Amino acid sequence: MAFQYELMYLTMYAGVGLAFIVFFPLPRIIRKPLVRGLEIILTNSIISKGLYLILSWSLFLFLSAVNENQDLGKDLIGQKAQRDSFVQGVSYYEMEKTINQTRMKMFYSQRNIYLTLFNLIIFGVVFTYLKGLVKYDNLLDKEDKLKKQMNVPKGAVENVKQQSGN
Amino acid sequence: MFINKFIYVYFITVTIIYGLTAFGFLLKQLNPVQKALSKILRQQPFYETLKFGYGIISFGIFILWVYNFDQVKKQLEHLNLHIDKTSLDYIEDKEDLYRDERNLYLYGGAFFVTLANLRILSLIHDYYESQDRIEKTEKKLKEQ
Repeated sequence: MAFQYELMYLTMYAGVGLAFIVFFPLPRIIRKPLVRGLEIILTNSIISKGLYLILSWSLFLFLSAVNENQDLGKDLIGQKAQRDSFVQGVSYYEMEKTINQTRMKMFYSQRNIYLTLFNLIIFGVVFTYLKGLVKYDNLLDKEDKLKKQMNVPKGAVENVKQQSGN
Repeated sequence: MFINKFIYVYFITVTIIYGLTAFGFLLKQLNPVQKALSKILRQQPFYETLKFGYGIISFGIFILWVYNFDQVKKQLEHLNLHIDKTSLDYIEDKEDLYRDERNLYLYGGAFFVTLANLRILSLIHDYYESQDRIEKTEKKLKEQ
Protein backbone atom coordinates (compact mmCIF):
# COMPACT_ATOMS: atom_id res chain seq x y z
CA MET A 1 0.00 0.00 0.00
CA ALA A 2 2.89 2.35 0.82
CA PHE A 3 4.00 2.14 -2.81
CA GLN A 4 0.59 3.31 -4.00
CA TYR A 5 0.73 6.29 -1.66
CA GLU A 6 4.18 7.19 -2.95
CA LEU A 7 2.75 7.08 -6.48
CA MET A 8 -0.06 9.31 -5.28
CA TYR A 9 2.58 11.66 -3.93
CA LEU A 10 4.10 11.91 -7.43
CA THR A 11 0.64 12.45 -8.93
CA MET A 12 0.27 15.38 -6.55
CA TYR A 13 3.03 17.22 -8.41
CA ALA A 14 0.99 16.98 -11.61
CA GLY A 15 -2.08 18.22 -9.72
CA VAL A 16 -0.24 21.18 -8.25
CA GLY A 17 1.21 22.05 -11.66
CA LEU A 18 -2.23 21.93 -13.27
CA ALA A 19 -3.82 23.98 -10.48
CA PHE A 20 -1.01 26.50 -10.70
CA ILE A 21 -1.53 27.02 -14.43
CA VAL A 22 -5.32 27.15 -14.22
CA PHE A 23 -5.91 29.14 -11.02
CA PHE A 24 -2.83 31.11 -10.06
CA PRO A 25 -3.04 34.79 -11.03
CA LEU A 26 -0.30 34.59 -13.66
CA PRO A 27 -0.07 37.35 -16.29
CA ARG A 28 -2.85 37.00 -18.85
CA ILE A 29 -0.41 36.57 -21.78
CA ILE A 30 1.09 33.44 -20.23
CA ARG A 31 -2.00 32.00 -18.61
CA LYS A 32 -4.50 32.27 -21.45
CA PRO A 33 -2.69 30.13 -24.07
CA LEU A 34 -1.82 27.52 -21.44
CA VAL A 35 -5.41 27.23 -20.22
CA ARG A 36 -6.74 27.11 -23.79
CA GLY A 37 -4.23 24.33 -24.51
CA LEU A 38 -5.40 22.39 -21.47
CA GLU A 39 -8.99 22.86 -22.59
CA ILE A 40 -8.20 21.27 -25.95
CA ILE A 41 -6.32 18.42 -24.28
CA LEU A 42 -9.20 17.76 -21.88
CA THR A 43 -11.79 17.54 -24.64
CA ASN A 44 -9.87 14.47 -25.84
CA SER A 45 -11.92 11.51 -24.61
CA ILE A 46 -8.92 9.31 -23.72
CA ILE A 47 -7.37 11.99 -21.51
CA SER A 48 -10.64 12.79 -19.77
CA LYS A 49 -11.10 9.05 -19.10
CA GLY A 50 -7.58 9.02 -17.65
CA LEU A 51 -8.57 11.84 -15.34
CA TYR A 52 -11.63 9.92 -14.19
CA LEU A 53 -9.30 7.00 -13.48
CA ILE A 54 -7.02 9.17 -11.33
CA LEU A 55 -10.06 10.51 -9.46
CA SER A 56 -11.48 7.06 -8.74
CA TRP A 57 -8.05 5.77 -7.72
CA SER A 58 -7.61 8.68 -5.30
CA LEU A 59 -11.07 8.01 -3.87
CA PHE A 60 -10.22 4.36 -3.29
CA LEU A 61 -6.92 5.23 -1.59
CA PHE A 62 -8.65 7.92 0.48
CA LEU A 63 -11.23 5.45 1.78
CA SER A 64 -8.60 2.83 2.57
CA ALA A 65 -6.48 5.41 4.42
CA VAL A 66 -9.50 6.46 6.51
CA ASN A 67 -10.12 2.80 7.31
CA GLU A 68 -6.49 2.23 8.28
CA ASN A 69 -6.53 5.30 10.51
CA GLN A 70 -9.60 4.03 12.34
CA ASP A 71 -8.01 0.61 12.90
CA LEU A 72 -4.83 2.21 14.25
CA GLY A 73 -6.92 4.37 16.58
CA LYS A 74 -8.49 1.22 18.07
CA ASP A 75 -5.03 -0.36 18.44
CA LEU A 76 -3.78 2.72 20.22
CA ILE A 77 -6.58 2.61 22.80
CA GLY A 78 -5.70 -1.03 23.57
CA GLN A 79 -1.99 -0.29 23.88
CA LYS A 80 -2.57 2.67 26.17
CA ALA A 81 -4.75 0.57 28.44
CA GLN A 82 -2.01 -2.08 28.56
CA ARG A 83 0.62 0.51 29.44
CA ASP A 84 -1.48 2.01 32.21
CA SER A 85 -2.27 -1.35 33.78
CA PHE A 86 1.41 -1.80 34.77
CA VAL A 87 1.57 -5.51 33.92
CA GLN A 88 4.65 -7.18 35.39
CA GLY A 89 7.42 -8.19 33.01
CA VAL A 90 6.59 -5.48 30.48
CA SER A 91 9.02 -2.56 30.28
CA TYR A 92 7.31 0.83 30.55
CA TYR A 93 9.81 2.30 28.09
CA GLU A 94 9.12 -0.42 25.53
CA MET A 95 5.36 0.08 25.91
CA GLU A 96 5.80 3.83 25.46
CA LYS A 97 7.79 3.14 22.32
CA THR A 98 5.11 0.84 20.91
CA ILE A 99 2.47 3.48 21.57
CA ASN A 100 4.56 6.13 19.86
CA GLN A 101 5.15 3.85 16.91
CA THR A 102 1.42 3.32 16.52
CA ARG A 103 0.91 7.06 16.81
CA MET A 104 3.54 7.62 14.14
CA LYS A 105 1.71 5.19 11.88
CA MET A 106 -1.50 7.07 12.62
CA PHE A 107 0.08 10.35 11.60
CA TYR A 108 1.39 8.65 8.46
CA SER A 109 -2.09 7.41 7.60
CA GLN A 110 -3.48 10.85 8.38
CA ARG A 111 -0.90 12.32 6.01
CA ASN A 112 -2.18 9.83 3.41
CA ILE A 113 -5.77 10.89 4.06
CA TYR A 114 -4.85 14.54 3.50
CA LEU A 115 -2.72 13.70 0.45
CA THR A 116 -5.44 11.71 -1.27
CA LEU A 117 -8.10 14.26 -0.35
CA PHE A 118 -5.86 16.99 -1.73
CA ASN A 119 -5.43 15.13 -5.02
CA LEU A 120 -9.10 14.26 -5.22
CA ILE A 121 -10.17 17.86 -4.74
CA ILE A 122 -7.47 19.47 -6.90
CA PHE A 123 -8.07 17.21 -9.91
CA GLY A 124 -11.84 17.49 -9.47
CA VAL A 125 -11.68 21.26 -9.24
CA VAL A 126 -9.43 21.63 -12.32
CA PHE A 127 -11.65 19.25 -14.27
CA THR A 128 -14.95 20.98 -13.45
CA TYR A 129 -13.49 24.45 -14.04
CA LEU A 130 -12.19 23.52 -17.49
CA LYS A 131 -15.55 21.92 -18.37
CA GLY A 132 -17.23 25.21 -17.43
CA LEU A 133 -14.71 27.14 -19.48
CA VAL A 134 -15.43 25.02 -22.57
CA LYS A 135 -19.13 25.88 -22.18
CA TYR A 136 -18.29 29.57 -21.83
CA ASP A 137 -16.16 29.46 -24.99
CA ASN A 138 -19.02 27.88 -26.92
CA LEU A 139 -21.29 30.67 -25.70
CA LEU A 140 -18.78 33.30 -26.82
CA ASP A 141 -18.65 31.72 -30.29
CA LYS A 142 -22.43 31.89 -30.46
CA GLU A 143 -22.32 35.54 -29.42
CA ASP A 144 -19.77 36.32 -32.12
CA LYS A 145 -21.96 34.72 -34.78
CA LEU A 146 -24.97 36.72 -33.63
CA LYS A 147 -22.95 39.95 -33.64
CA LYS A 148 -21.92 39.28 -37.24
CA GLN A 149 -25.58 38.77 -38.14
CA MET A 150 -26.47 42.05 -36.45
CA ASN A 151 -23.90 43.95 -38.47
CA VAL A 152 -25.28 42.73 -41.79
CA PRO A 153 -27.52 45.37 -43.46
CA LYS A 154 -31.27 44.81 -43.48
CA GLY A 155 -32.51 42.36 -46.05
CA ALA A 156 -29.26 40.48 -46.22
CA VAL A 157 -29.91 38.54 -42.97
CA GLU A 158 -31.54 35.70 -44.85
CA ASN A 159 -28.46 35.32 -47.07
CA VAL A 160 -26.18 35.06 -44.03
CA LYS A 161 -28.48 32.48 -42.49
CA GLN A 162 -28.37 30.45 -45.68
CA GLN A 163 -24.58 30.70 -45.83
CA SER A 164 -24.13 29.59 -42.25
CA GLY A 165 -26.60 26.75 -42.93
CA ASN A 166 -24.42 25.54 -45.78
CA MET B 1 -3.46 23.97 16.95
CA PHE B 2 -6.37 26.34 16.56
CA ILE B 3 -5.23 27.63 13.16
CA ASN B 4 -5.13 24.09 11.70
CA LYS B 5 -8.66 23.35 12.83
CA PHE B 6 -9.83 26.68 11.46
CA ILE B 7 -8.19 26.05 8.07
CA TYR B 8 -9.56 22.51 8.01
CA VAL B 9 -13.12 23.80 8.46
CA TYR B 10 -12.45 26.60 5.96
CA PHE B 11 -11.08 24.11 3.39
CA ILE B 12 -14.15 21.88 3.62
CA THR B 13 -16.53 24.88 3.48
CA VAL B 14 -14.82 26.42 0.46
CA THR B 15 -14.82 23.05 -1.33
CA ILE B 16 -18.56 22.65 -0.72
CA ILE B 17 -19.19 26.20 -2.01
CA TYR B 18 -17.10 25.41 -5.08
CA GLY B 19 -19.00 22.17 -5.66
CA LEU B 20 -22.38 23.89 -5.44
CA THR B 21 -21.38 26.68 -7.81
CA ALA B 22 -19.32 24.71 -10.34
CA PHE B 23 -21.61 21.69 -10.74
CA GLY B 24 -24.18 23.93 -12.39
CA PHE B 25 -22.07 23.61 -15.54
CA LEU B 26 -22.24 19.81 -15.38
CA LEU B 27 -25.69 19.15 -13.92
CA LYS B 28 -28.78 20.81 -15.36
CA GLN B 29 -30.59 20.52 -12.01
CA LEU B 30 -28.15 22.95 -10.42
CA ASN B 31 -28.50 25.56 -13.19
CA PRO B 32 -31.10 27.69 -11.33
CA VAL B 33 -28.73 27.92 -8.34
CA GLN B 34 -26.02 29.25 -10.63
CA LYS B 35 -28.37 31.71 -12.26
CA ALA B 36 -29.50 33.07 -8.91
CA LEU B 37 -25.87 33.37 -7.84
CA SER B 38 -24.96 35.25 -11.00
CA LYS B 39 -27.71 37.79 -10.22
CA ILE B 40 -26.16 38.41 -6.80
CA LEU B 41 -22.68 38.56 -8.30
CA ARG B 42 -23.66 41.21 -10.78
CA GLN B 43 -24.28 43.69 -7.99
CA GLN B 44 -21.07 45.59 -8.57
CA PRO B 45 -19.73 46.61 -5.14
CA PHE B 46 -20.48 43.16 -3.73
CA TYR B 47 -18.59 41.38 -6.51
CA GLU B 48 -15.50 43.54 -6.07
CA THR B 49 -15.53 43.11 -2.27
CA LEU B 50 -15.89 39.35 -2.63
CA LYS B 51 -12.95 39.18 -5.03
CA PHE B 52 -10.84 41.32 -2.73
CA GLY B 53 -11.76 39.19 0.30
CA TYR B 54 -10.88 35.94 -1.44
CA GLY B 55 -7.62 37.49 -2.63
CA ILE B 56 -6.60 38.50 0.90
CA ILE B 57 -7.51 35.09 2.38
CA SER B 58 -5.63 33.19 -0.32
CA PHE B 59 -2.57 35.38 0.23
CA GLY B 60 -2.65 34.67 3.97
CA ILE B 61 -2.90 30.92 3.42
CA PHE B 62 -0.13 31.09 0.83
CA ILE B 63 2.21 32.61 3.42
CA LEU B 64 1.30 29.88 5.92
CA TRP B 65 1.96 27.29 3.24
CA VAL B 66 5.42 28.62 2.44
CA TYR B 67 6.25 28.80 6.17
CA ASN B 68 5.20 25.17 6.56
CA PHE B 69 7.50 24.09 3.73
CA ASP B 70 10.32 25.56 5.76
CA GLN B 71 9.16 23.67 8.86
CA VAL B 72 9.15 20.35 6.99
CA LYS B 73 12.63 21.02 5.65
CA LYS B 74 13.93 21.78 9.16
CA GLN B 75 12.24 18.68 10.54
CA LEU B 76 13.86 16.51 7.86
CA GLU B 77 17.29 17.93 8.73
CA HIS B 78 16.61 17.32 12.41
CA LEU B 79 15.59 13.73 11.70
CA ASN B 80 18.88 12.99 9.97
CA LEU B 81 20.78 13.90 13.14
CA HIS B 82 19.52 10.82 14.97
CA ILE B 83 21.97 7.94 15.03
CA ASP B 84 19.65 5.41 16.64
CA LYS B 85 16.68 5.05 14.32
CA THR B 86 14.70 3.00 16.86
CA SER B 87 14.89 5.44 19.78
CA LEU B 88 11.84 7.13 21.23
CA ASP B 89 13.17 10.56 20.26
CA TYR B 90 13.48 9.51 16.62
CA ILE B 91 9.92 8.19 16.57
CA GLU B 92 8.64 11.40 18.17
CA ASP B 93 10.44 13.52 15.59
CA LYS B 94 9.02 11.43 12.80
CA GLU B 95 5.54 12.02 14.24
CA ASP B 96 6.17 15.75 13.99
CA LEU B 97 7.35 15.37 10.41
CA TYR B 98 4.20 13.57 9.34
CA ARG B 99 2.08 16.13 11.15
CA ASP B 100 3.82 18.98 9.36
CA GLU B 101 3.53 17.20 6.02
CA ARG B 102 -0.18 16.70 6.66
CA ASN B 103 -0.56 20.43 7.23
CA LEU B 104 1.26 21.08 3.99
CA TYR B 105 -1.55 19.39 2.03
CA LEU B 106 -4.16 21.15 4.10
CA TYR B 107 -2.77 24.62 3.45
CA GLY B 108 -2.02 23.85 -0.21
CA GLY B 109 -5.52 22.53 -0.76
CA ALA B 110 -7.14 25.52 0.98
CA PHE B 111 -5.03 27.91 -1.08
CA PHE B 112 -5.83 26.38 -4.46
CA VAL B 113 -9.52 25.90 -3.72
CA THR B 114 -9.79 29.57 -2.68
CA LEU B 115 -8.24 30.59 -5.99
CA ALA B 116 -10.52 28.14 -7.81
CA ASN B 117 -13.51 29.75 -6.12
CA LEU B 118 -12.38 33.16 -7.31
CA ARG B 119 -12.06 31.88 -10.87
CA ILE B 120 -15.36 30.03 -10.92
CA LEU B 121 -17.23 33.05 -9.56
CA SER B 122 -15.80 35.29 -12.26
CA LEU B 123 -16.61 32.59 -14.83
CA ILE B 124 -20.24 32.44 -13.67
CA HIS B 125 -20.36 36.25 -13.72
CA ASP B 126 -19.06 36.39 -17.31
CA TYR B 127 -21.07 33.38 -18.52
CA TYR B 128 -24.47 34.72 -17.50
CA GLU B 129 -23.62 38.22 -18.67
CA SER B 130 -22.83 36.79 -22.10
CA GLN B 131 -26.03 34.74 -22.03
CA ASP B 132 -28.06 37.90 -21.33
CA ARG B 133 -26.33 39.70 -24.20
CA ILE B 134 -27.19 36.81 -26.52
CA GLU B 135 -30.83 36.89 -25.46
CA LYS B 136 -30.99 40.63 -26.15
CA THR B 137 -29.35 40.27 -29.56
CA GLU B 138 -31.68 37.41 -30.49
CA LYS B 139 -34.67 39.57 -29.58
CA LYS B 140 -33.35 42.40 -31.71
CA LEU B 141 -32.76 40.05 -34.62
CA LYS B 142 -36.32 38.76 -34.38
CA GLU B 143 -37.60 42.31 -34.45
CA GLN B 144 -35.61 42.95 -37.63
